[in-house]
Amino acid sequence: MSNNIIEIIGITQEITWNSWAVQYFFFIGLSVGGVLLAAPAYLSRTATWLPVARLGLLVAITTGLVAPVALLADLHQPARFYQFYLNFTPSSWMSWGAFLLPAYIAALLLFGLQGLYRDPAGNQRVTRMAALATSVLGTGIALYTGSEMGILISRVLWQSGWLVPAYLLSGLAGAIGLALVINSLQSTENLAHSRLLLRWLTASLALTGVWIGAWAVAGYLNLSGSGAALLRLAVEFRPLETLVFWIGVGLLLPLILTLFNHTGLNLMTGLLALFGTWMLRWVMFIGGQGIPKNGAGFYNFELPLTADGLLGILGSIGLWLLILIVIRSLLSQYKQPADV
Amino acid sequence: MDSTRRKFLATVATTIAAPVLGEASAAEGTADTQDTPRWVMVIDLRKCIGCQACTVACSTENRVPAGQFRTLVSHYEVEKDHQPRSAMLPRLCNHCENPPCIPVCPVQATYQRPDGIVVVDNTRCVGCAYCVQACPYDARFINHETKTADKCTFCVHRVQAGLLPACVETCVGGARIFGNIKDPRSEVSRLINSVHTDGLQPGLKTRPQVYYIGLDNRLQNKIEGVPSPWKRSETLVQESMS
Ligand code: SF4
Ligand code: SF4
Repeated sequence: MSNNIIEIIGITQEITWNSWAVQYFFFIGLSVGGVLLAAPAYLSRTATWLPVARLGLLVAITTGLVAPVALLADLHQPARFYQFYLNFTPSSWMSWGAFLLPAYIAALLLFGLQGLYRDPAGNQRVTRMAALATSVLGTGIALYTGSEMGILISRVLWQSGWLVPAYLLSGLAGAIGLALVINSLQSTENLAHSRLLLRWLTASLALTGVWIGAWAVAGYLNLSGSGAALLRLAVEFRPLETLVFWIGVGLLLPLILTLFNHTGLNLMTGLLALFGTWMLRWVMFIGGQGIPKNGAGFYNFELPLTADGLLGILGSIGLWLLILIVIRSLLSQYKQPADV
Repeated sequence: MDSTRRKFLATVATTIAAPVLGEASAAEGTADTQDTPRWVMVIDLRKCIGCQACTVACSTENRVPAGQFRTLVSHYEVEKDHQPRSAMLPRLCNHCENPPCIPVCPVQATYQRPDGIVVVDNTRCVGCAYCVQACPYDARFINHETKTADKCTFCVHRVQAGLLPACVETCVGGARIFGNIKDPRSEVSRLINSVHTDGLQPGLKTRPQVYYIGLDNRLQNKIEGVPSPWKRSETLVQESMS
């Protein structure tokens, strides 16, 4: 920092993409991760994978249904959402997202209906088609969410191709974590499923870690401005939040825990992996907006306790839980699914 | 009446009759004729004393909520020849020639008028804040009262009535000069052609249309220095929202 400039008057710019945006990116990331976990099994009909894939599909649907609610809540004029559909704007990634999201949810619901409810009865062709459509649209979602931030020349941290894979990998880790949580909360935890999920969780967390590490190293070597901003965020601006909570508690700790396949630990491992997925988005959004575009220093963000902050975060998690309960009771009422 | 103002009013008088200064709408497209003015601002930093009269005039004229600003004079202390010196930097929307805030808007609520002024249709804006993120100059914000994107409009309502923007009108030192860059006789053209001017963050290729005279190049991009002790707290924001 050059000390020969002192800012006497300059204001803190408000954080306009706040906790609802984080929740949207969190839930939609989990949903796409869930599809990644489920679709290959349904497409290839790998018998050993299918039961775990059903868990992945349940994760994808439940989180996928919460995501649009969080997105709407993030708008300051949510009642005007119809304007998105009256004014398609090809130059705006957000506009593409407005069309992709409902298409993705529709395909996902069909995939869910087939995969969780009707599939064993026979019509596997429809399931395959739905799985394929959901995967293609899910790829579109992953691309648009990362690119929406990546094209902004105003924010060096976001302005990079590193973001899309980072979101995708950590979304997958979070989805596996959530599947692990659901599995360990079943009346009888299926240990074979837990074992498989833990193996995948190790791999996806390790890959996320390697990717983030490479991003930071690219910054250190001056190969990426965004990597340099990431390093600065971790070392200079938000050391505790970025290093301890995100990298330490959200990434390294669950990675270590995956190496122990202990029934008592699985719930915690899954929850920590989820926390890591959330933290990546929190650091990117809130930390990213904390780096001034023009001013000096760093803008700190205090999480309000209202619906715009903590209450909103808790509310969206509550909504997810409600959707999970409704879907599971519907499934068990009409049919005894094998593993879900 | 000083010569700047007289020249400005003469420009407006000749252009106001033309339909180009009529009601703006997205549908008007980008029809550009020689008669259409291109409004720009020159800020002569040698004359700015950092009194914030422009900040107040703007907030009053445009009823900007407390704690939010369409323009603000950033104030720095810089070192020059081993001596501390004050440096002012009035900030506002640059009405960029290549504005990154416009293509990102998912509902085309923000657009550039043929005369270069970048505006927001706040009856259509969904308040997604994508443009706020996209503007490299922090010129936009979500208005706490309207819940839509807000920014400097060069006081388009005044310009259409043949008046100067409120900040220009009020500027004590005459540091803010407004006019039509397409008119070679305008004060802004004369200054831009005769004095060295700089825009902010030129590397981003946004082609800002606020031209600074006497800009210290340490202030041209993101400031690296000791941050201001005065930071708006969330409490103030909450208060102004209620
Ligand atoms: S200064 Fe910002 S808001 Fe104004 S035109 Fe340029 S990019 Fe858009
Ligand atoms: S906040 Fe309004 S003007 Fe800005 S991008 Fe969103 S809809 Fe467009």
